Amino acid sequence: MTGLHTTSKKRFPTRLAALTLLHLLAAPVYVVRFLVRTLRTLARFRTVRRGLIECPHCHGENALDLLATCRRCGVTEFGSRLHCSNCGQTNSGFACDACGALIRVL
Amino acid sequence: MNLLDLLFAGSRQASYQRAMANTRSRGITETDADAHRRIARELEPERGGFPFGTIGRDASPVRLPDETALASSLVIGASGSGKTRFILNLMQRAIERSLLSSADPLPVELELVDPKQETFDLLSQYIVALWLAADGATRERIASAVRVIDWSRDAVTPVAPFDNSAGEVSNTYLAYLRTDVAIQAGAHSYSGALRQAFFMFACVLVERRFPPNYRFAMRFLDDETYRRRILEGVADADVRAFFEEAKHSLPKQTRDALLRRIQSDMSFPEVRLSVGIPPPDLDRLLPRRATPIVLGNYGSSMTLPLAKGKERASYRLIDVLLSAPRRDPRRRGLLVIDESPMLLSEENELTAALMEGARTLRSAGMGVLFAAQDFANALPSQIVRTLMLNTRWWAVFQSREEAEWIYPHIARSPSDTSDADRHREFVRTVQNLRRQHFYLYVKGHSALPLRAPDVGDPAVRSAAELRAVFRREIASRSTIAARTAVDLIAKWEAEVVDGVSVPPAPLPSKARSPRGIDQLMKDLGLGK
Repeated sequence: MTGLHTTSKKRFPTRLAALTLLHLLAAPVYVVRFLVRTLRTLARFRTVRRGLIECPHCHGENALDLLATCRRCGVTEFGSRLHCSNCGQTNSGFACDACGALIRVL
Repeated sequence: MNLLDLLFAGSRQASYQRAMANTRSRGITETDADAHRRIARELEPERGGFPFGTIGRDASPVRLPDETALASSLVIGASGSGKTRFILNLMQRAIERSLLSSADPLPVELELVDPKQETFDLLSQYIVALWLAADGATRERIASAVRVIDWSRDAVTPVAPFDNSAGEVSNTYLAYLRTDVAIQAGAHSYSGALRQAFFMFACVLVERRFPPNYRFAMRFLDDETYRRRILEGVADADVRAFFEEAKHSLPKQTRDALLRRIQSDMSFPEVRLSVGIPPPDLDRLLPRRATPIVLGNYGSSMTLPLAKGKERASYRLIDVLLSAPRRDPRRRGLLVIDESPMLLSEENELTAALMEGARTLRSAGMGVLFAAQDFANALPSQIVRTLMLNTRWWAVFQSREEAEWIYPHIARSPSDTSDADRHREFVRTVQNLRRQHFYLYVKGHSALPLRAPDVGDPAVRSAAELRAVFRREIASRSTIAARTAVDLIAKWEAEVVDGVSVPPAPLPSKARSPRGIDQLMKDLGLGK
C-alpha cells in the first residue's frame, strides 16, 4: 500500500506537465474556433441590425422588429422577434409572414 | 451572458423604435380597404401586365406584371364560382397580346389541357370571334398559330405516341413513360408479367416506329417467323431476347391479356384513327409546325370512356414536359391544366414529371396553371404541399378547405373581435363568395379580395355557328378526315401485317449510341 502511494505522488508532476502541454497544444485551436464563431455571429448580427430580411423562398420582406410574444416565457414586448429580453431566449429563425417558410437568421 | 445577449442588449433601443414603427404601419392607422389598395399598388407593373380583376367599391383595376401572371399558379373554386371564366380571361389576354397587339406585344406559348371540354369550347369560340372580326392577313396569322388536338367520329388529330424521331429521350424511356401512363389511366388491373409484356411491346413499337395496331399485335405474338423478321430491326438486345424466347418469357395467359388490352384500346374508332396512322405518313400529311397556341380537348363527351381522354391528355403532357427544358426561355410559356386532379391523383410518372416541372420549369420561362374545384381533398397531401410551395400565386374562388390556405395571408386591421372569431368569419366568407369574386394571393404580398374581369361573350353569331366555323377554318389545319385515316391504316396493315415484306427499320436517331466499334468507324466514315 505504502509503495503504491509513493508511486502516485511521484507521477503527479509528470501528469501535470503532460496536461499543461496538451492544453497549450490545443489552445490555438480553441482561439481560432472562438474567433471564427465571433466573426460569424457578428456577420449574422448585421442582418438583425438592419431590421429587415428577405425570405429566400418567396422573396417577401419580413421585419425583424415587431410586437412579439416570446414562445418560452410568453412576454409580449416591442423588440426583436429573435430575442426575448425577459428570459434571454434567442431564436435562430422564424416563419416567413407571407409564405410560412423557415427563415434562418442567426 | 454570451455574445448574442450582449449584441441584442446593445441594439435594444433601436429595435424598440423599429418595432413601434413596423407595428404602426401594419395596421394601427390603416383600414382593410387602404391596405388592399396599397397592396394592389405594390403589385402593379410599370407598364403592360395582365388585368386580374377589380378591387373595392370603386372597382379599381388590379394588374399583375407579365412574369408574375404567367408564372406557375393555382386556381381553385367550386363549380360555377367563375373559375373557368377567370382562366379564359387570362388566356384571351395572352392570345391577344401574342397575336394581335402592336402596342404591347408579348410572345407567349399557350397550351390548354382540358379534360372536360368546357374551357376548350369557350376558348375556341373566342378565337373564332377574333378570326371573324379580322382582315385576311390577320385571319391567316390566327389560323396558322393555333393547333387543335381533338377527336370525333368525323375527324381526328392524329398523334404518334410511340414515335421517338425527335430523340428527346431514349427509346426505352419513351416506351416506359407511355406504358406507365396507359396503365395508370385505365381501369384495368395489371399483373407484373402483363406490365412487363406491355412495356416490351411498346419498346418494339418505338424501335420500329410502328403505330399501335391490334392486327399487328396479333400476328406479331402468334407468328414466330413474322416476329423474328420484325425483331431484326430492333436494336435493343433485351427486347429481342424477350420476344425470341416468348415461349418462356410470355406465358399464354399474359399474351392473351396483352392482346385483350390492345383490342380494348383499339376498339374505339376515335382512338384507333388518331393513334393508328403510321408516323411516316403523319409527317407527310401534317408536317410538324411550331404553333404558339395548342388547344387540347381531352373530354370524353360521354362518347368514350373517361380513361381514354385521360390517357391522351397524359401523353400530351409528357410530350410538353419533355420538350420544355429545350425551349427558348425568353418566350414566355403557360401550360393550363384544367381539372388537374384528374391527371394528378395517381402516383405515376406523369405526376412525378409535373411535380418536377412545377419546381424547375420557371428556368425555362414556363409556368403551369393548375385549376381545380378542390385540391385539398382531391390530391395526396404531399402533392398539395409541392403545388403550394412551387406556385407564385393562388386565386381562391368559393371554396372550403382552401380558405385556410389564404387566411394566414390576409391583411388584418385591428378590431375588437378575437383571432378565432375572425378566422371563422373569414372561412365563412370564402365559402359564400359570390360568382366571380375571389382572393388573390401573390407570394410576398398579402391576399387581396378581387372581382374577376368580365369576359365578353362572342355574340357575333350563335355558339353552334362559331363551333362550325372553328372546325372548318382553324381545327381543320391540324385534323384529318376519318376516311383518310381509315385508308392509311388499311394501307399500312396491307403492307406490314398482311404483306410478305417488312419495311426496313428506321435509321437510328441521334440520341442512340453506335453499336460496337465497327458501327462507330462506319459512322465516322472510316470503316470499309
